[in-house]
Amino acid sequence: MEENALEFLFAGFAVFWAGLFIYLVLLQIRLRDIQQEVATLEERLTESENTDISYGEAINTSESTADSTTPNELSKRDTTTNASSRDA
Amino acid sequence: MAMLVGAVLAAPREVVEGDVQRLMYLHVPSATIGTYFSFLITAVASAIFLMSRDIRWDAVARAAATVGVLFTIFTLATGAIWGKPIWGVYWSWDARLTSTLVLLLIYTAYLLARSVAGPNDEQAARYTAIFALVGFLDIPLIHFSVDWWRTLHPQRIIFNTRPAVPNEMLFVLLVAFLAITFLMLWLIALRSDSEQLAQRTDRMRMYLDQRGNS
Repeated sequence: MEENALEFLFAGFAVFWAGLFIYLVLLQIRLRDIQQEVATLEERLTESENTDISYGEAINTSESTADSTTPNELSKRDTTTNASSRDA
Repeated sequence: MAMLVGAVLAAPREVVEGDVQRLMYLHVPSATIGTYFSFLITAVASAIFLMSRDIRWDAVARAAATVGVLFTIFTLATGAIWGKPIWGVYWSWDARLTSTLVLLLIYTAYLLARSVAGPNDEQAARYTAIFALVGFLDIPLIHFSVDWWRTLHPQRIIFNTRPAVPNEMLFVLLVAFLAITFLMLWLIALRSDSEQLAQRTDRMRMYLDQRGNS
């Protein structure tokens, strides 16, 4: 057994804190990307010329679609589209 | 922070292993709470998703799996660093270490497979939920590996009817368990929120795409 193992103790705690810090930074980057996407979608919605419903209604429609049917129809349709495009 | 202060200052020095034994206050809670309980949450959320088909439970399962993978890496890393001065090697292919590495690979594969599909892809969520449930079977194998096989890793000293450590160490270990529990739950909640936000954004994008096409 090595006599002075303090550097190993320091290394163990350093790995833990550094890993935690890196994970939180990566999570922050992911959240920022999602927020940017939300902003882009907001822009698309407000700039849509053919819009006949408000942004709030669109959000509610999207959420109620997701909540009332499980799984939501949109993802089902997406899966079906992917499957059919693969078959084609 | 309380865990760090407790481990470095409050806990007594172990006479045989010396100061490096203080890594126990990080390694054992990371393995038991951080790893086992995160993957337990993944398995439970996956089971609920399979029964309810509510895609939000898939987000919870993914969040817990991500945090579980993080803590498994911490467990393996701190174990290797602890092992070097005590065993003379960073790694040994014994049952406990190998089965923990297998667990890491299983849930890394789960996260990779799930990330290939979209956040609202129900079919991918269903398959990976089954995979997560099967993967959870590795945890009892890890826990009892030191009893079933001859290993370099020591036997269980904490989770016995009579823990083989003094009360001062047990108290600091209890603080460390609490700290890791709160950290794990906070990380899962953060990740789960971001996953659910990604699901809502994806639904919104699909909605706008369909409106644009119609």
